Amino acid sequence: MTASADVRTARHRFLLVGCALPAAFTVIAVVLMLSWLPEVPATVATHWNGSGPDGFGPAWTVPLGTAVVGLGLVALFAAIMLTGTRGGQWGPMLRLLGALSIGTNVLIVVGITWSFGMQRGLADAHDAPDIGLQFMVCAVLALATGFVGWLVQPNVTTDGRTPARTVEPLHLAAGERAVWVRTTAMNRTGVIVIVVSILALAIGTVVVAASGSTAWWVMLGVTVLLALLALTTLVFRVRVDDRGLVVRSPLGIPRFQVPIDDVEAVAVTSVQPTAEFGGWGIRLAPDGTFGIVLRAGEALQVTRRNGRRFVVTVDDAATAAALLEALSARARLEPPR
Amino acid sequence: MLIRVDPASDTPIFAQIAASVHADAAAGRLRAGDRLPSARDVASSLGVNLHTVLRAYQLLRDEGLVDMRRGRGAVVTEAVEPLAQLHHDITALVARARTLGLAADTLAALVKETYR
Repeated sequence: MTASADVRTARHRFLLVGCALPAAFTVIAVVLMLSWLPEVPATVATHWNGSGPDGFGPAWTVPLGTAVVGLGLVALFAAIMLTGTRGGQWGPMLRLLGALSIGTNVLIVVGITWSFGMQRGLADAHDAPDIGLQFMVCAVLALATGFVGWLVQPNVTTDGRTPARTVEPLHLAAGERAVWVRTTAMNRTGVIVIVVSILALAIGTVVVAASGSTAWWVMLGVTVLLALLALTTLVFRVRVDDRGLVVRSPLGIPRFQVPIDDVEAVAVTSVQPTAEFGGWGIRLAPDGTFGIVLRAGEALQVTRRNGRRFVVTVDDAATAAALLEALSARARLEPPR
Repeated sequence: MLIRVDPASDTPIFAQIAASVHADAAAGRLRAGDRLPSARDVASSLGVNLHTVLRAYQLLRDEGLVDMRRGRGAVVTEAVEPLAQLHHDITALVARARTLGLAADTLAALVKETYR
């Protein structure tokens, strides 16, 4: 599928705002800091708390770290955009992503460069001044840049959801009861990425614990939390019966539902995760659509009475939609029990 | 997978549940290794007795279509593949019977007779 002219403009603008400018800022910052290296102490302050500097490191690591983080983030945002919009879709989530990229970049790059530059001429990094005010200025600057980054990108939305098609209700005899159940899971690549990340974190925790640092229990907490999150959001059971639609994780929590009386319309749609929801997982799209997005493609879409849409990616969505349509039609006709 | 029961039908409820699973298998909606929903969930969704659903699952186990394992529930076996392979033939046969004005029971009786 080839992208339309609108999408091409949006994509170019994203690459400029979210990738080229942040990369340029990073390079300028790194060059500036390298040129300051002879003027700063060999060990510089790298972290501050409320009362002054409390973290220190060799001066050369600061420009190196900035380069890695700054360019790494650019690569990450570029990868998300390029892989997510291969099909030629675009949406407000991507515009936000572009703005987020440049805003984050300004916060990090300007903040680090400023705190580094302040230490020129110091004999001991412990004398580094407080950076509270500088941090505030950077935060405001980052927000402003992000906002401008949002404005200079065009508002393009490809209608990824127009293929939503309504279905013929399933033929049910009077008094016939039916249930549709299906398990929906994150695609294999996603699962591998998540499992490998958690494993890496677990190994990191062990290494940190072995090194004698007390930070290990914080890392353990994060690892357990992430494992629990993965466990509850990688697989969902989707059920349609005369009570409505229920989507729940194998552990029972989280659990999402649309009661049968709240069903206004049912359709089968095709989801483009990045363009519509900004990614995978339990998502709220900018237009208020709530999505349980575990993969691209076939999905069941339910419109609630208040107009809000509920989308869950699941195979055989047509059967689910046909049954839900039939059951909600029956619920509308029958007086509530 | 879709399970439907009609209390007004002459067929016993447990047989209707088993027939629904057969239909799911034949429609290619079930694959070997898939897990059937828990009997408790099905019973509560359909408003039928838990033992009725368990009886249906036992029937399917006796046929070899599912494997019942403690803690894993009812898992679909390889026996599902032949059913799925017949899917197109059955759809075609039913469509043909319908255009000829043949009732479902008549068709079923004919198939049974021929199979003998």
